[in-house]
Amino acid sequence: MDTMNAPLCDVVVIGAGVAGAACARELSRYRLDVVLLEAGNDVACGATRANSGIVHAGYDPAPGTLKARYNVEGSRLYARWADELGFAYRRNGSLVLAFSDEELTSVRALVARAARNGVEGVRELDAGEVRALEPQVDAAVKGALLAETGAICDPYEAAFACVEQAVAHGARLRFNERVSSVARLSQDGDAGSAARYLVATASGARWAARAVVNAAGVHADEINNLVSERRLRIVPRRGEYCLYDTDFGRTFSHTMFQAPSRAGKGVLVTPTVHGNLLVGPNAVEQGSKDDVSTSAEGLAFVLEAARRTWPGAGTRGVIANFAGLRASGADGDFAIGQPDDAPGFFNVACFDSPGLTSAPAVAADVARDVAELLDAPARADFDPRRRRAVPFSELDEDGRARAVAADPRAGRVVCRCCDVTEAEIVEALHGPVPVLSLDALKWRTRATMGRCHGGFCSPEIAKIVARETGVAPDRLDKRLPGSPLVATARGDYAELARLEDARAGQGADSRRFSACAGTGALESAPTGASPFDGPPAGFPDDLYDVVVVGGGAAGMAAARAAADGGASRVLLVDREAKLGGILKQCVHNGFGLHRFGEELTGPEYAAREAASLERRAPEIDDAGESAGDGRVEVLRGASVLSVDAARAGEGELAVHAVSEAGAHVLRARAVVLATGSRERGAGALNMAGSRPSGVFSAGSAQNFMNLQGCLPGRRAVILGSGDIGLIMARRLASQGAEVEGVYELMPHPSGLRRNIVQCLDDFGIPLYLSRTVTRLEGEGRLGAVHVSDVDPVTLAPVPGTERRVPCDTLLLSVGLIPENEVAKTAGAELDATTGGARVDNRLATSVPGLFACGNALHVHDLVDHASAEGEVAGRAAAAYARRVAAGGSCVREAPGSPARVVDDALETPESTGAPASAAPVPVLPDDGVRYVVPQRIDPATGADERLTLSLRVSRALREPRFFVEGVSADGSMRTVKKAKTMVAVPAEMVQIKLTGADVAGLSSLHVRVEGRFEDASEAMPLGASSRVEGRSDVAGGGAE
Amino acid sequence: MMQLATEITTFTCICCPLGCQLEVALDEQGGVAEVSGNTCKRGADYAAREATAPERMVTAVLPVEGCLEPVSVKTSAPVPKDLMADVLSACSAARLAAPVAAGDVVVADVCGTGVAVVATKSVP
Repeated sequence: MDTMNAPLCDVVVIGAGVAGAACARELSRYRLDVVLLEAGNDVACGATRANSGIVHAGYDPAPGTLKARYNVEGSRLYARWADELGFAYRRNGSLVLAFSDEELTSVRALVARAARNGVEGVRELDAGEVRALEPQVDAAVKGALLAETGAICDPYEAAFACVEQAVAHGARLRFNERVSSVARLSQDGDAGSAARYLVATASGARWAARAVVNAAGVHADEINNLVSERRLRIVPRRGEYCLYDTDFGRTFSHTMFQAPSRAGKGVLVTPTVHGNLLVGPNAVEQGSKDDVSTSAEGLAFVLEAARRTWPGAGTRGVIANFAGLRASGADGDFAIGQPDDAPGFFNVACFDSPGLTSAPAVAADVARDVAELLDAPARADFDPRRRRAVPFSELDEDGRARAVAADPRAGRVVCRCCDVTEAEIVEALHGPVPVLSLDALKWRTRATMGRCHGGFCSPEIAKIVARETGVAPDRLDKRLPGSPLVATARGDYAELARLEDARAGQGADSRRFSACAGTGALESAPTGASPFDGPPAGFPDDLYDVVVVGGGAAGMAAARAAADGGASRVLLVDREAKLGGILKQCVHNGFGLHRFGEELTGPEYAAREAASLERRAPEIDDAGESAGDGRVEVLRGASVLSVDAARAGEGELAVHAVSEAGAHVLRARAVVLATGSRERGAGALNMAGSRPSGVFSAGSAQNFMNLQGCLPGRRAVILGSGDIGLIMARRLASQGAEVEGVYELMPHPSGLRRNIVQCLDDFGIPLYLSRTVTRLEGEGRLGAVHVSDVDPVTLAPVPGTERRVPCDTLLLSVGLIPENEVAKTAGAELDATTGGARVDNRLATSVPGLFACGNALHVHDLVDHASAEGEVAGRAAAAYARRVAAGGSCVREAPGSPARVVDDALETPESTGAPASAAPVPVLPDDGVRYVVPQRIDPATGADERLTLSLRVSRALREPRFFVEGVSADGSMRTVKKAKTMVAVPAEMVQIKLTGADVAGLSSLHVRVEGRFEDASEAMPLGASSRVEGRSDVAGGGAE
Repeated sequence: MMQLATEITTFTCICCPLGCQLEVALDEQGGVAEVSGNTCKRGADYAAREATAPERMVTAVLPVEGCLEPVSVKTSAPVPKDLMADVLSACSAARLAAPVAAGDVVVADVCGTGVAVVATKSVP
């Protein structure tokens, strides 16, 4: 055979899943020249990536099988393997649950099998013991097997670490090389080369190899059958999963299996090493070895099955679904080693579960046998330990400071869900294993892995990738080859991204502590004020009166109001280089009608607010009232990671932040959280199908268009009639894209009427009510979506109404969720309905000195209202700080611990002491009202103090009448206020103004609404309306 | 006797969330003869305006040479609705180079409307 031009190597490893990766790593122990060929564009593209991530204890495989032997050996090796390679691994223990007598029998059989397989630490638990270990388990549990050595890991990381280490030891890695033939070479002709096999790939590349390791996953049978008569047959079995938000990660600590029964093997519910909760998989045989689409039926089955273990399993909290294909051999066991008719050809085939667990043991055996066959000595310089940088998210304060000192880009947190820094992204881009897709970056750094699904950070990451590698987002694949992030980007995108970074670098000093004046927060802002040149003399330390977190509309207003309200030092911290938050990308008009009496665009509104920060305080009115000079210091490019409330009782909070200048601990008497909101992502909708590029949150598409000049796609479908989606429909249409239509689940639009008319009607874009997208289609880029009518009452898709809509882009405008990661770190109590903190009428949270406003508190329709709310919070924070500074009680404003506030609805009216120590007055939504902010009123509120109730109705009403009713300590009720509007819809906030006098002496306040139902679904059941909750789609603009 | 049918046009009112379906009857000179379907005075005014001389603010983003971030622009006053597409075309024909300051006139007297297109942000 012609081996001319085929480079010779010792070993070709086919496949960079965990099996091939582990083999490549183990082969690195020997003096061998290794080539690792991967058909995909990253490591772990197949079953390794879409996997339960369980390191099985070994009680399950039948004794005597290869699976039993390697499982037990592999399980024993894992802890050391994880330690050496530096991947996430946690021995959390596994439970196999029995819910019936039949299952109890099979649990006992497994306990016996564990003993025969030589698994230690396995025993039976009774029902009480199970519930003591895992209180969330369904009460019907009858008993369980406990396997103490069961563990969880990150399979991608495991494979990646192995490959990286192999490459570090000289292995040559080739992505996008699908092996198309493996031909046996006649030994006599090429005795000198001793090459046994010629391996060729679809691209035409060839290698002559002395040995081949076949770790080709679902394709391993095809590869084996090219060289061996010992035929293998792999039947791909699809397994589907739902992944939950980290909020659910602590539901269980153990991996919860279900005992096998006649009904099947059940599904598992497990925490993951990254703090999520995972449920699945089912097992469905399928013909295709490539199609990893999920199906609506499969996902429904998984959730249904999971409910046996965890009654709470549902679509709430799901952030992603995915499917993987198990490479199950027809005869059930692994196929490991050389077939007797193919010396030098080593299989790691039919490697389904427990393949992940077995990988280290199998790889060690295979590598040893290869080395023996090729007579390769061990390498003296093999280093089993991989150097791994500790992720920024795991660093403590000192570690962060050191990281930023070493590389200022470590002070730029790009992915705010997973705290991934620019330094980490840049390092991954230039690492030894090439990054060929955004997903590769995601898996290696965890950027975009969090609950926002890259809604915020993918445009930012696209810029970094272009800058570092020259690949613009129209050529950057999301996952598979042919899955570009956007349809078009300007030709000089990468060059300009570099220029932008260079400009930011020159202005780096301005990202350190500085006043806003002269630093170009927004260039249009008047810069008349003299630049602020360091802290004025006379301040004994760096204790601020008020630190405001978040430089959007609410935060800027809060900072201004705090300074005007007499706070001595006010600092506004924002993560971006320019103030304004989301307003910067909202280039349409309609902002500011209430606040400025004219219609502005988002950037203009932001510029006005930023300019107002530059002025000094108005003349001090009441002599001595104002301790400050009215200046607002601004710290840009700084990400706040947490607020430490340990000393809140003594009147001090610590804000932990990082910037390019270092790690900061900002001490403050009061902190205002104005952290905004995030968009509900695609994952939350649990749509079935594939995972193509072209699916955007409306806001990220807006960022790509309005801040980077990209066109997201050419033919778009918009799901959800929230204002951002409507605005983006118009933007896309204006830019020459085709907008097929806007699909809305509810029977009524959720955006403002004006936007329906001016964004859709004006451009001839249809709006389809009571319809939704149920399935995504497309391997690389999105090719079509499937839409169905939904029942207006249950909101479930109506069978038989499905229609395929070709498109390359799906924009989601399906709701905003207050962003409260920082509030959580402070221990602030959150409201399940609003998603924001629970506050009193001064917008004080349950943590003394901590205030919240804007979209972080509850989602607003109008930016004007967010600004107004910011002012309330800023003034209140300043007043609180001044009181604390004067030595006053710091808990008067926010009485009680968080625990006490939780109970405030239940508080009895007997606690009627002096006003200062009286219990807060709970404000409760009643009939027809979904929520009211604030949730409580400070009993010390002055009689002439104004307070605003912001509320949303549960459903659309015509001619609504709002009743604010107070219950007094003696149980009597009085109507405090009646109010009306012409119509009320859930999408539009209603505000009712009261004064302190209105609520004086009350023990609780109730708000209800009466009116005629607006929509047809008169008999909407409670279940349906609760599903509707959290879907209030609102944007940052569109004043009416 | 023959009757001359009165031309009517319909709109969805945008003045409040009610979204009244407004009907405007036009007289022979194209003026507003009658508005119906409205529930308030604002609706009647809106309908008359939409029926006779509808206007819109136009906003867009335009590429700027030498700067990745495009500049956002708006018409300094509403322009006739019929001219929206022309105004957008005129905007995209403008060739801009960094720096651009908020308030800069990008297109003077766009499409003969007497309205200027101005930058709403400064880049870079």
